[in-house]
Amino acid sequence: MEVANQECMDSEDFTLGKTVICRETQIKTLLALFGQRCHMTPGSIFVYGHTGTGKSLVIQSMMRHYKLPHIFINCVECSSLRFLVEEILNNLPLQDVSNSEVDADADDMNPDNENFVRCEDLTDFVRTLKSLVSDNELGKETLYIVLDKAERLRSTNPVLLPALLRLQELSGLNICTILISEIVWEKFRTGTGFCEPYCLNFPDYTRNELMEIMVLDCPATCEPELYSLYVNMVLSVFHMVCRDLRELRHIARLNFDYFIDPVKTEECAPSNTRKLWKNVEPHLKKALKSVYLREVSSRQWELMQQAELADGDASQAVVALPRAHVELPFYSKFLLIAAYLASYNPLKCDRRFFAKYSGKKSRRMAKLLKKNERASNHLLGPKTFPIDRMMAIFYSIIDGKVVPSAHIYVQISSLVSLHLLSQVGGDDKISAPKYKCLVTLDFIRNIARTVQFDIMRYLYDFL
Amino acid sequence: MEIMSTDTATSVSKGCFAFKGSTRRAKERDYLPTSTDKFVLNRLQLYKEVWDELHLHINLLRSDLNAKIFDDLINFAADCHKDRNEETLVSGAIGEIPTAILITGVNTPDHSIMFSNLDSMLKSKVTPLVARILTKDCSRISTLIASLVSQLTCVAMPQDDEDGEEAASLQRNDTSGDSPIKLKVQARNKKSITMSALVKWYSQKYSVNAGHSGASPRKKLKRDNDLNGSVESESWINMIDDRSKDKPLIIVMLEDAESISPGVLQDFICLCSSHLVSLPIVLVMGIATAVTVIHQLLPSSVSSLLCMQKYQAPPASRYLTQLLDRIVMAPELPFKLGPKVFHFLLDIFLYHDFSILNFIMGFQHCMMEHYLSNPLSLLCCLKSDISKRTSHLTHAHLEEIRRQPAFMRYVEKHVVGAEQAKLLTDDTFTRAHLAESVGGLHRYHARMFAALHFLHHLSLELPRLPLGKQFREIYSLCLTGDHVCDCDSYKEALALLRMMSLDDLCPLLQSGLELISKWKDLSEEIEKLILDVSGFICRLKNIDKEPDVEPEGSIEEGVRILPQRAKLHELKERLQSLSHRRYKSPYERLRDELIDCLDEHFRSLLGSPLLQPLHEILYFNDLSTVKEQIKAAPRCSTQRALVQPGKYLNCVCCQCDQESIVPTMPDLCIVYKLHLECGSLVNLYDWLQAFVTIVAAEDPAGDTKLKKKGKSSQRNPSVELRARFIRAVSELQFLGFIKSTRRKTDHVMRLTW
Repeated sequence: MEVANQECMDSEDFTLGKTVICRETQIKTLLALFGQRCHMTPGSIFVYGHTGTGKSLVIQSMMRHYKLPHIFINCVECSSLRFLVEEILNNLPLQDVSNSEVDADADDMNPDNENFVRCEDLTDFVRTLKSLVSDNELGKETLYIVLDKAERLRSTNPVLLPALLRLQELSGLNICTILISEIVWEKFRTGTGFCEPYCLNFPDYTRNELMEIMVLDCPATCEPELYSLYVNMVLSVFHMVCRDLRELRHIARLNFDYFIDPVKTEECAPSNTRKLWKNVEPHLKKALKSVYLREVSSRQWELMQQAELADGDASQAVVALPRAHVELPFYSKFLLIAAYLASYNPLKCDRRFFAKYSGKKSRRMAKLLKKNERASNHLLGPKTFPIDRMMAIFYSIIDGKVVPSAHIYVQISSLVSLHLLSQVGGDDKISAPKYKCLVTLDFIRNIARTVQFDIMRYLYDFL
Repeated sequence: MEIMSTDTATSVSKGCFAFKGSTRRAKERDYLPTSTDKFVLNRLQLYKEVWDELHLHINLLRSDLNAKIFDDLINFAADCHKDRNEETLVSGAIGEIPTAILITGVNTPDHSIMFSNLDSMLKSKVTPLVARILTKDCSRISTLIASLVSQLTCVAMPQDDEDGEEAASLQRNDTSGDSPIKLKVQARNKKSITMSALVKWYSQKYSVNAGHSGASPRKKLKRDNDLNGSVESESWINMIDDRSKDKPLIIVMLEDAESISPGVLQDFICLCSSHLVSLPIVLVMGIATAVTVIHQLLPSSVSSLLCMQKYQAPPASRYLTQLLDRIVMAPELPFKLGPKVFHFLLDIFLYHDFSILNFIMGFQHCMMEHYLSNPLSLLCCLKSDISKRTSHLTHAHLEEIRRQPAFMRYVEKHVVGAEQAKLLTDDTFTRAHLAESVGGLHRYHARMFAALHFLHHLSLELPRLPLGKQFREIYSLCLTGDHVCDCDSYKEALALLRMMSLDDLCPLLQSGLELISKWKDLSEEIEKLILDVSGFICRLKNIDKEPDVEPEGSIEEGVRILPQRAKLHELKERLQSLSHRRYKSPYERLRDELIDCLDEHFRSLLGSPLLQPLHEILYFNDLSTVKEQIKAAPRCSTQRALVQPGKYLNCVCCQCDQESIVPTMPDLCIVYKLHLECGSLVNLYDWLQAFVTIVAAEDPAGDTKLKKKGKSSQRNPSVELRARFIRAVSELQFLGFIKSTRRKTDHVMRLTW
């Protein structure tokens, strides 16, 4: 069966059997590029566009719909050249494509299998590819090698990308390499020897298109018109802040029950748009606060909302509190405070804060000094400090004697592993390590409050 | 020699080796000082018995504590792929990986036990395909996937009864775990391991299953569908059932998501999501701090691939409270911590690490030390075993016990007259007496804990909680002081109780009684307390029937005393005192009576355990022996060793006080002491000269030679001396006291102060 024939069958319908919508132009272009099965295609096609614009979906569905011989590879997985080429060689659609993959290569997992092709470099790859293709008579049709997340290829091997782009030329076979990426082609040009691919952009969906796609999610129990009304409401709230289709669908799914509830309980008619909107609006507004967060699944979200409805705003505080709340041992808190002070106070004023007999400056002098400071340390971000300084501050802010036991040093490294501190690379990581404090002012104030330590008094910026 | 040195010097390397090694098993006996203490093996046996009992309790507690959240999590994992069906999969609607976020708390050492529990529970209840990804596997995405695949593919599948040919092909795939599989894994490591390989393995393995047992009816049904559309829904359900049976979930546990490098984690999640169509993956991520970390680690494009559900593990402090209630502060278990050790272990937990595991290990260590060092601990056994234990005591055992200072003290203080002599000579009498006094200790514990819980319950309702919020606070008061009733906070609590209203007091007493009446085998004293209090409750309920009689010394008297003429402030004082002695309602009088009664009971019940006779049998209070082992201070002991090598090496020639430098010391110590005298930068040449001066002073044979050569030898020390010096300096550098610097030539930098 030829592509052209199929094209005739669904002549004005480029939706791949209604699985993909709103991408007609792109599909049309791609089909035109592919031509008929036996035709030579452009050596390489570069597909780019933002996340969630249907790039992988379109390519994959096209391959599946027209049953084209292809290999689909995610470049994240193939971190080295050897991985990638072996992956390609071992996954060639050798058998007849119409057979399902189930029994295609039954013994492939077996490492002793002699069929497993080993390949170390590109010359070898091209040679093996040629022989494999000619042995299995794949040459009749265009073979598509689809590389998803192609931006990863830039960092592997400098010759890999040019070679893949010129694969058709190098092997002399009817091969098309399709690269899928989220970034533009210009950013790929790092070396030489690039064969310019055909670039195809997938633009963002417009609002109407988004709506059209989201209506597909319509649950079986709901009428499509009603659902499209709901989607319209969701979009009216969220379209300003979020265009990510995936996120929008997630939100729509989370809040649908609130919308449909009054209809189900027959509180109001499906035609009463105004009332429905009034009903669902507060929930959507609330969801707006946590867009992109994804901290709760739909079930937990429901439970939370129900609890909130039950006892008003009392539970909201409870829900809001634990998000950034971290429980730490007593000395860890002080170590963290010491690290924060060391990170945000200038070195020269340590003496003033922590030494007993610091030379007192007159207020005027202090003001004068302050004027000379260029900017607040909090605007500049945390500075690195050596461990000695942190320990010195620690011992001066903690009351009572603390033995420098192994426990204390273990706590520093556990703070690092919790991402509250970070160790900054220096020449001497063992004897004089340097750190940076990563927590925010709010966080440290909460911590300091729990140990009754007035941190604001010790911060240079807030004097 | 070895024993001597461990007795006199303390070091970091001193430790106990009761843990069984997996390969070369060390015998406990080899480490026990049998030469000095003959009955240590008996006590080892006893220790094992008690520890087994305790361990059982700990494990029970552990499973209880996490039961709720584990159940939730398991339900989530089991349910989350239920609504997958092939239509949505093909259209790519589900791009989200179901993810359980387990917020575990910062006590990272404890987590591995928690996860291994979860692992085994998931394996038994949900799916055999569970992989635990440790941080060490996560340096690169390829190692992560390799670890994942090797854990999944080695899994032993339950063999179903299947017909010949297919069973053979299956067996080839999963010859359950033994050597051939292991070899294969090693071989596979050389090959590229990717997710798509896993996909292939999975589809092959589980579709082979389905193809013969599940798919044949499916095909039949499909044919039916073509004929008759009405069967469709039914067949659909069947298919789902088949699939969930044949295609087990893959659960991947990332134990410590924070310590995995963000890039690897992102890649891994992207990969999982792209393969979600063919692999039903569920992620379980352990997070130590808070959920916000997810957003620090992952950009929104990745986090939107997750469908997260949050589970909060109970905080470590609650775990500790339960542990203390059930194990440390329970009357049933014989071994008890004395106040010093109790506080020490508690401080380590609260101030340092929040780690239950470390707490339990510390507790176990104390227990071992108790049984090892205290001969009286021969009697530290469960209450039910006392009579058996004491009757088995031989004459030698008793002699050993009699020799103990604690026992001597007891005999001198608490026993009078003829019994004193009898205790020291008559074996049968001593046995009976010991049994009686150990039993007495247990009985004391039973009533003390009951009374203490009652008091704690009463104090919980008071404003500002004078006796503390946690039971452990009041317990530590009881441990430390001479008597709880003498300390200020107790007095404050009673004073506050005296001000309580009827409506509060009555239910409080009631619930308190309910609390302690649940205890098993209450002693007489406690029953008397219960009786008294319930009597009071009755009277409080019928407060109207109380006689309204005013005690003598009433107001008129006071008025009569009031002088006619007085100074202003005298009059004021007098009036104030009068106002205090105002009229008391019957309720107030009854309340006073009640509180006095309670006070009396508490005074008799809550004596400090350290004042009980022979408490040394059960209580371990020797902090100094365990302190350095539980809370190691490596720097302190290194410095002590360098300053006082004589004590450390146990040799006679180096005995000296801290400041002096003796030439016979090891070179390292001399060099260390010399460098203490310098500033932040140490001049190597001066250092060498000082070193040579000290070492040369030792050598009387070379004295004449040196004198002859005079100053020249001073300036150019012998090659041997220079070598010794350099070696000592580099050892010091190795220990981290100095490092080389580029600031000044021929200088090194000091790193310690």
